[in-house]
Amino acid sequence: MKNILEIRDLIVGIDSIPPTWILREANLSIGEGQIVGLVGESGAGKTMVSRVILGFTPEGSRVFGGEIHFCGSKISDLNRDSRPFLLGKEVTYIPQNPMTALNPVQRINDQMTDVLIRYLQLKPRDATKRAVSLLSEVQIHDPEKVLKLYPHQLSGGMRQRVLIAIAFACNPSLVIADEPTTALDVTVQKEILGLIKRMQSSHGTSMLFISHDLGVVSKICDVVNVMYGGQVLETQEADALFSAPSHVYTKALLSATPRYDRPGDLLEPVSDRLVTEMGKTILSWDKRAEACFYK
Amino acid sequence: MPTTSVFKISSFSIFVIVLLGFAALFAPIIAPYDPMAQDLKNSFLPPFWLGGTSEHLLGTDSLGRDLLSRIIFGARAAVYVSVIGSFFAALIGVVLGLLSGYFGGALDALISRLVDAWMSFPSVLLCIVLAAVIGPGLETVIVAIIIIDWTRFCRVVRSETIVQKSSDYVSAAIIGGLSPLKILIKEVFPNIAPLLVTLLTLEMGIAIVVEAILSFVGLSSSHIPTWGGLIQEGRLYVNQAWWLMGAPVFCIVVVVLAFNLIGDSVRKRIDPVLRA
Amino acid sequence: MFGRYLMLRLLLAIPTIFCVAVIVFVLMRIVPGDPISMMIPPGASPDDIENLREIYGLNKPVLDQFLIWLNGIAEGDLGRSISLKLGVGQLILNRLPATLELVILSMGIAIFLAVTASVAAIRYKDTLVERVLDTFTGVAQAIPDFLWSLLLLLFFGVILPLFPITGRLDPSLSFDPITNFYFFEAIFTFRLDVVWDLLAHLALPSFALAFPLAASLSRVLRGSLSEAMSQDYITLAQVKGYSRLEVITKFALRNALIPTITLSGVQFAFLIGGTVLVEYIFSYPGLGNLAISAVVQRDLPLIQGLILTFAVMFVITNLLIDLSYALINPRLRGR
Repeated sequence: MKNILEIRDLIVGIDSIPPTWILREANLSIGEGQIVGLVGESGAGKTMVSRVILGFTPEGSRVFGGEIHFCGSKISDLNRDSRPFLLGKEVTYIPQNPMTALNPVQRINDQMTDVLIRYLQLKPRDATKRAVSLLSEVQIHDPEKVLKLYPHQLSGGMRQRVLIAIAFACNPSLVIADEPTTALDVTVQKEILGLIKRMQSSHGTSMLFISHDLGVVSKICDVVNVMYGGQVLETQEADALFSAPSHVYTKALLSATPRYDRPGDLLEPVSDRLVTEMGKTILSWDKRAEACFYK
Repeated sequence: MPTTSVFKISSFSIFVIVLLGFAALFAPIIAPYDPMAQDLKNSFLPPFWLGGTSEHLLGTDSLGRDLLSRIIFGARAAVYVSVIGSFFAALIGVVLGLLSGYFGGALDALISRLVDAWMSFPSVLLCIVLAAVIGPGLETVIVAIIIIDWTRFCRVVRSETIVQKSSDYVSAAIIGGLSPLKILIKEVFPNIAPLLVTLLTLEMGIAIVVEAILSFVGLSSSHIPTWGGLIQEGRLYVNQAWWLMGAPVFCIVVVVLAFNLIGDSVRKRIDPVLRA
Repeated sequence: MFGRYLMLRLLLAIPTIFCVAVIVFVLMRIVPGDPISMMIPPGASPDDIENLREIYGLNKPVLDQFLIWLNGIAEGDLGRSISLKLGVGQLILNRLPATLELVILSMGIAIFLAVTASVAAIRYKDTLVERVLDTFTGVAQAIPDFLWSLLLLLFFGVILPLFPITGRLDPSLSFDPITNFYFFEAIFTFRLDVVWDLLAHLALPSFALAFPLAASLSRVLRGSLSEAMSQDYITLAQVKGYSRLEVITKFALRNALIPTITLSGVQFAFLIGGTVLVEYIFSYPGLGNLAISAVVQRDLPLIQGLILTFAVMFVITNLLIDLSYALINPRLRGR
């Protein structure tokens, strides 16, 4: 299978002396048409991975080493302004919090059609037609009416549907979903997950699905990457990961997560000993990196 | 970088303000001529760098009066009214602000509404109408400054008093049985004093402009030279002798900028949030 | 829905204006001295003075005077000017268009400058551009419109005589307008020479009024812009592939305008007060100039009428600001 995205030994840090490392030689690949999960606790560097792909490293941070290849071409050298053709058209994004991600002063129509007009060179009227069909695809009733509304007139679930529709509007090659269901009610979560999965398979898009929730990831992903301390510890097919995790941290993480398939199991927090041990590994990596990048 | 630039700005401001104070205090000694002495043979002399003489450094006006001397005496009038006006504006504002902030309730509501109503009216219009009501004179200008600007002090002092009131040392003083008056004077006031310094510096700049405006419109005393009066006279001859208007305008602009800059840097120094 | 909101606001404006009328009237009556004394020719007999008092209604009790005045206002009669011997209403109507043209132009310039400066400062954050703009904003705000008028007059009217420094229109241009809205009339009748001359006369006073307003607007706007730039919808806009400038102008700006209007609406109304001095300095034949001469002459009926006019303009400006706020903020706009 061809890889849409490949991240090799990516090192990102905050440019202080000595640097604070955020990604420590992270590796990740996303195959065509796959949903690839990225799980880890908060601070593991999941969001940073998505930011680097999108070209938004936060202020003060930079890429120290490693490469990102998108469809075979190296994009890690390009800054954001020199790859706008990618963003919005080839690579799109489903944000975490639908309540704040839509522009409050623009009608839904304008927020949906702008990318269609910009990247597919549609006329405004055709763009609106396309927006209507996209909205029905994400199961919004009465799409013509919704297009005329402002974000504050929609519920959280509706807004997330709109955002999903925007993300798939130009048939992108890669959609990055950053915890797309975390901010939603549990009842809505399931619908949205199903919707994302359906949209992904009907558009044949690859997807990077970031979450801290192993349960969610197990339902939707083909391949799962487990992240800790800025490194990808383990990459497995979803089924294999849940039945036979190979890394100790993954095992610990799994036994700390409620399992629908094994309702009787006791939950076990990740042990302090394990955390200390992994902390040591990270520390030794930092020492090596420091010697390498900062003398 | 920031420390040096603040230092430079402050030293410029301090230089201007010291110069202003010096001119105001010692006007009769420094001024080379009597500001009212006419010399019709030597009218409209240009400043020395525009072909004038070194006897009249800034030249002379339509009646041959020495412009430099008139500006120095104008500084005296400006400082006189601004200092007195600012002081009383501050006094009224601080007293009302302290009372309103400390006691709250109906008194606070009344004073706050009054301040809001006051501030929603354009101050220039207010002071011109007011000056017209009282009639021209230096005292008019002082009253105008007080009436326009007490609200600035009142508003800031009120909100600061509310903050201070909830502090531990005021609670301790209340438990210790101090009377509200003593608490206000001994506990609250010293803590708002630094803020007051900033307000007063900024206020001086504003007061000098108000003075210039009123004397420009002809509502100040016509018996002594004022900067606004000089501008008004210069405006008449601006096409023949622009410096007659240019010199006093330059003085006011420099003084206003100096007070603003020093107000800014004082605020940065005493305000820990801004300083960080 | 929207119409009803407008009506409600207009109705609410009436008590405000009434209050101003009362205050103005009371203020004028507590004047020490006799307003009539200003207009007595030398050598007038006591009878003549009594006559004058009669004419201007100054011999009646204060409450009666007030009621007569109010009644007059209701009938559109603001009384007669003592110094100019003309109807106050007529005088004001003649001068109002000139002031409105000045006010509208100044506000337009101020908004343009403020938006350009704040967008540039956010676009070029942490660069020399931002620091230069900081300095300009600081200076523009520290110097009031009165001093800006004088500075502009000196530098661009006298030392570099680029613009005329007095009046509204060069009298050598033959222009016989039907209305007093010279500018709009000249545009509609395609008198480009007149438009050009009017603009030249307006240039210095309107920039003098615009600078301090632009500075305080841009301070607020910059704050709200940088606040808006950290919002999630901006991230989404960036991810949609918009450049930084596009993100600021198409997404952040409209959102940032909402808090800016709330915080600085009153500044616009204050600009109307500023016209008084600026018009006086540039001998611009508007209401402000009339106001100063009325004040200097202590022409009570005229002062009363003018202050009332300013109050009405003040209220209308605030109303327009509220309306623009409602227009820009979809939450307030009903469906």
